[in-house]
Amino acid sequence: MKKFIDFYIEAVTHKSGGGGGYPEPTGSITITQNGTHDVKDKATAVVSVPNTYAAGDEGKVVENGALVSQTSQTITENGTYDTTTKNAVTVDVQGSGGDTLGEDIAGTLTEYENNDLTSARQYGLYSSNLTKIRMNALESIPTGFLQSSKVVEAYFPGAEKILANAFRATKLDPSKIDFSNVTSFVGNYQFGEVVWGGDGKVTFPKLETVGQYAFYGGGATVSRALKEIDLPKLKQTGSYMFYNQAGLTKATFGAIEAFPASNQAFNSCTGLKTVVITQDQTVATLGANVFTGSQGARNANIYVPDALYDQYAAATNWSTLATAGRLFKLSELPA
Amino acid sequence: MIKTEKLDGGLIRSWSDLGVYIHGGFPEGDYEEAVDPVELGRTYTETDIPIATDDELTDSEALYVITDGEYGKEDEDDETE
Repeated sequence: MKKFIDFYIEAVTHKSGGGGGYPEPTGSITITQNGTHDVKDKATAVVSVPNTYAAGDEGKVVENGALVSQTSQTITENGTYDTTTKNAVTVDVQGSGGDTLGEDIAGTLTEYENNDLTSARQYGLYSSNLTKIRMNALESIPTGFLQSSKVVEAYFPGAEKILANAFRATKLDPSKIDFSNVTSFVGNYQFGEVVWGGDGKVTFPKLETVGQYAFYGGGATVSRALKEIDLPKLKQTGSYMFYNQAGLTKATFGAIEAFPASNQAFNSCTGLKTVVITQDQTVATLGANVFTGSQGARNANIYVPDALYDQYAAATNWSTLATAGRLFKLSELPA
Repeated sequence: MIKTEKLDGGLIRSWSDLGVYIHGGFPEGDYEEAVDPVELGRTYTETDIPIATDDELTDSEALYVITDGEYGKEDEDDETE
């Protein structure tokens, strides 16, 4: 199964040209002389050129845009992909699973580990039954990669970016994740509608930039299990970043420079009681109604560095919180 | 024009009646509206930056949220790469 899933994920990488009137292939895999592509873990696998090729050309090998040989298209259980006519060939292929790989491997593959792949295809493991995944070399976690999957443990120590919807609607355990080198969320909803397990305390130690709805709490049927979040490097909150996270009680920011008003980061976060700011170099800008008003986090007390407390108390929009008795020094933070 | 309104607790609210960001305050920056202690006498100027509505939910997105995904569209500008 590992070989198949490696092939499937790897198939995103395009290595050879698709000229000669044929469209760009969707992926490729290199098979050496007399080599085989083992698909024995799958009852039937289809290894084919993209189905946008002309009728009758399906299953043929295209090399540098030219049709060079006929190959089998469908491989049955324990079958092979025969390349004996070539010393080595780069075969443009696309996996048969499409975006339904998870259905193909239902009940079979629950754990996956890879130390080599640096890229992967969008929605590669969408809706899969994986509960544990480790990809040590993946640099960017693609759009929808594990969306709606059963993943609980996710280790991506080499990843620097997470794209839209990558873990949306999963059930991650915050004590069993590794996003230790992620610096940016590109696009939206990376962890939207996640039903966080464990203690619900989540941290992204290097995250600096986010898009919209990064931790969206979901609609009425979603458990808002995010309890605490620690973002020591985040510069600015994202639009609707924690929208509907009514169970969020504490948020900590170590490098925050701005809480813009219009992005409504804490919209409907009615359970947020404590916001901690440890960045002690400058006062962060605060838009009106971020922590007040009908949609802001109106129940939160804000703790700021002692040395900056007086500046915060007199700062634009922060003064509202000071007057309301909701602005405190960090030294007053309850243990 | 910059509009102001005195609030309880010795505060004053400032905003633009043109619907643009106002500039000033502390930290100095652009604000949709600003609330400051009256005694600090902070003043603002209007920018030419309209207060953005891009980040707000569209009608379709709002419908998606309140119907728990049955109607509407969940996200109209998902970014992929």
